[in-house]
Amino acid sequence: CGFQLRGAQSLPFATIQLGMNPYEDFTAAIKRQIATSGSTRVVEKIEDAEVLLQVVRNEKEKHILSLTSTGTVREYQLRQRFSFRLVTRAGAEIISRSDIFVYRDVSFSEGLELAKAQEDALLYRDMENDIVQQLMRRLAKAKMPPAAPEAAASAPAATASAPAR
Amino acid sequence: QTASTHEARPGTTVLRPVIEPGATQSTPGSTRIDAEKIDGVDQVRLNATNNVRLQRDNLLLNSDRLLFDQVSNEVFAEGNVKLKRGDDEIEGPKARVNLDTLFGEFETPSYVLQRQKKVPGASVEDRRTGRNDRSVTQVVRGTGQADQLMLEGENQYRMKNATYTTCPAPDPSWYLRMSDLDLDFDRDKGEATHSSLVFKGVPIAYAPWMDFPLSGGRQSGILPPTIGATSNTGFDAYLPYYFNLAPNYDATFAPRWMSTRGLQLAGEGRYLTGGSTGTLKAEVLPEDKEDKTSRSLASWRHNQNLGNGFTADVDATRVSDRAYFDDLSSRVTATSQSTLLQQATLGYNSGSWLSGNLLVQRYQVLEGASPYNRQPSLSLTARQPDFHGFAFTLPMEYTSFSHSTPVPGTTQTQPDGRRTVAYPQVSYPMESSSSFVIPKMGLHATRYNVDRTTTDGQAAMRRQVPIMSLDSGLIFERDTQIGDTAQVQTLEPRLYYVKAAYRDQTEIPVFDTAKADFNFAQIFSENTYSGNDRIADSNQLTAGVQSRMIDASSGEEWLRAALAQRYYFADQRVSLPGETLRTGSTANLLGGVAGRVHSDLWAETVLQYDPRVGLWERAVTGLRYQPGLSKALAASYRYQRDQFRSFDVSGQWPLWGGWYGVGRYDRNLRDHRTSEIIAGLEYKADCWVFRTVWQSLVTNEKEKNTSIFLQIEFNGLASVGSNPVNLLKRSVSGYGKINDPGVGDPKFGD
Repeated sequence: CGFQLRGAQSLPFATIQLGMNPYEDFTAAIKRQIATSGSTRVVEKIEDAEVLLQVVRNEKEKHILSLTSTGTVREYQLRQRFSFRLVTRAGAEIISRSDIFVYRDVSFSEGLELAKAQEDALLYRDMENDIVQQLMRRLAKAKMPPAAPEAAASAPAATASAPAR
Repeated sequence: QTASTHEARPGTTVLRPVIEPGATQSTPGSTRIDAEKIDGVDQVRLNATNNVRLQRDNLLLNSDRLLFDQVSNEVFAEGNVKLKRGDDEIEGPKARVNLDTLFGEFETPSYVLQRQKKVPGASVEDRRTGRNDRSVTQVVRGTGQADQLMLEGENQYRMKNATYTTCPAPDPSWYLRMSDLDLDFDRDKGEATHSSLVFKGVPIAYAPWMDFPLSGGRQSGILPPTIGATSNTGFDAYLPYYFNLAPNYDATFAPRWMSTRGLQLAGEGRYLTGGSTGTLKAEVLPEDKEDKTSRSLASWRHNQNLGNGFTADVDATRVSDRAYFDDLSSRVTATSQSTLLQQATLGYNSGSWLSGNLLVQRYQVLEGASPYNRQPSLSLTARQPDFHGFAFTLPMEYTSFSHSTPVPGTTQTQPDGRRTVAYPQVSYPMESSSSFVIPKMGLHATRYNVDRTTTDGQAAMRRQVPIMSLDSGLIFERDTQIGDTAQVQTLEPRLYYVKAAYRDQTEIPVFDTAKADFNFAQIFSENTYSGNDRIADSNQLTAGVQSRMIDASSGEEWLRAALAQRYYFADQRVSLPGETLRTGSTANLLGGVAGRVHSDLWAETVLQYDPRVGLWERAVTGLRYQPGLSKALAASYRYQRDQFRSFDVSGQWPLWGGWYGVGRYDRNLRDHRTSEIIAGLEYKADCWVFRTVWQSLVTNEKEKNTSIFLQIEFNGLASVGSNPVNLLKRSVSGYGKINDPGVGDPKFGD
């Protein structure tokens, strides 16, 4: 029915800087995924980057879904909203502010706080994986501006090694 | 018609004929006067009459007559004086302005002051990161009249017997009337003495002294008061005052009067230093007239960056008594809590091979069973993600579990104890863009030291469980077309096998462990329990398939479907106390669809079917229609066999004129009880908003708390969220604040 194995997932830029806490597991997961593309490098310094990933917000929230007849929580929804923009080093917007919103439902019961906190952690990891997957899909579709002559002159390495889309 | 032009530079004054009639540009610092008639003494004084137009930099002055004193650089204007400076306009019969200092005065003027202002997001987080992305650009236009207006430099005005409003002239719905008014646009602040707030011609509030934000930004001042009544507190009025003390700390002080309880004082302070952010909160009801006791709440949240990868966090809340929220709060997030956390954490993560944290955690129990306190818990994780293709992980944890004093009427059956866990794991991930295979092995090792209260059972125990797993998946794609847009559809089959040895665990206490929910994340994980006290004896395979619809041009995923099932190769032997052992080879079938099914319509369904008994175990279905801001309708049905069955509808919709309806109905169908009802009306006028919200909320087994809130918000006077707005944002999926387009995400609701 037309399905084929997915081809190589190259990104349309050679270097990217992540505006995120480098020590978080979430950032590490994004780095790992970008590394698997083979042709794109994550750099530390903004000056070395062709594009910058700017995190507008990355918020986690626990929303009450349902209550028991005694008025305590029966079910929560864990929510995470990741908003980002992709800009060139010069500040030109490549991907305007985009939201990735993921959520998972989890039951709750009094006295099970410790067990449920660990379950929440498992679900948040699952949600972050989900966000990373969705983010990669969007980064792969970034429409890079045509290389300006002066940009090409100032950063020949970056523009020369940019993979064809 | 321009007859002649005079150009005056400091120190030079030359009269010369018009070079470019009608030209409005002049060189910086120079003054240009156009009029039908100009005469005077060169370098001393000029008289201009009829259609006088004076321009200097961005200042433009029109009048019938003008006298320009070139010695003091002052102008005296008379007759239809109109001063324009940027977007500000002041009109009056008579004015005097010094062109050097921009000091001067107007008699009986009317004025329009306009500023373009970015209104930042309301959280400390925004200020810490310095991000303004949540902000909305607003044009704030203040108008009014005064007996006298003094210009005091570039951006300052002072007025006597003035009015101020952000409503459009000439007949404002509300205005402030003040005997003295200072407007300082540099500090974004208005200050007034003897001010009355006049609404629909009726003075409704008076303050001997007040200040207010000129742009709706963060300024000290009175926040919109909340007035209402609840069944637990009687008449309930809440009048918060916001102190914008410094860019990095602020405070809100709020007296609250409850007719059946008395006067409560509440305060909240937020701070932010180079390495820390925090919030301190306290509420005191010195004497509850109903309970005849003093009741209080204290809360502290703190995050500190200690440098070198170390962080310190505090999250602690305590209340004076277990019924505190049920009696005094109408927020479900407060009344539904069964425990309050008191926790301090010291964390370490510098991106190196080792990370960890030290935690001290206690709970205050408000309702029901009590969880263990962890005093302390130390966890460390060593990691080597890539060593010749192998990934090593070693999580280790030591915890001392103890109970708080049991809640009266309950018995404590579980003993205290200490537990040490180490779980070395090695995996060899093989990943490509189209497939992955991850074999993994590990040894879960645990040691217990239990304080037995009876002679039954061992005090010291060890358990070692070898666990191996194999995770694998493929990613297929195909190009497709929906309407005119190109789409990519994926097909992602996944197989996950896990084998864990059986160890008898009946003697082991349950400190932090429970059966985990059956969901997509869980069935692709090793242990059916969350927590370390039970390691399930597993010999099982999970098969799943997922398909996503992705917009080919943006890469945006908009619809997803998934289906999964687990097959067991052996019966269950490990269990929690009271758990029924599973037999048979098939687990429940899990399926789900979620996403945007039409341009403004979102849908979600999760189903869990038990093929052995032929029953639905769990069903969730929801729909949301949201065609625009403040236009949203949502409904959901949630079912879990023997647990709950509930139905929830909510919405916000424009009704007629400026009226909006908002509401929610949440019904527990299993117990035939309504959990929450919200019904509200909002009215949006040109420069103010009225809200009334009625709410009924289950607080415990027998009781309900009903509340009614009233609120009037005057645009530009204050725009920080208050009780009814927060309630609506939380309860009504997709709620958008009608007078603030920045609140309420058009896509997800806020």
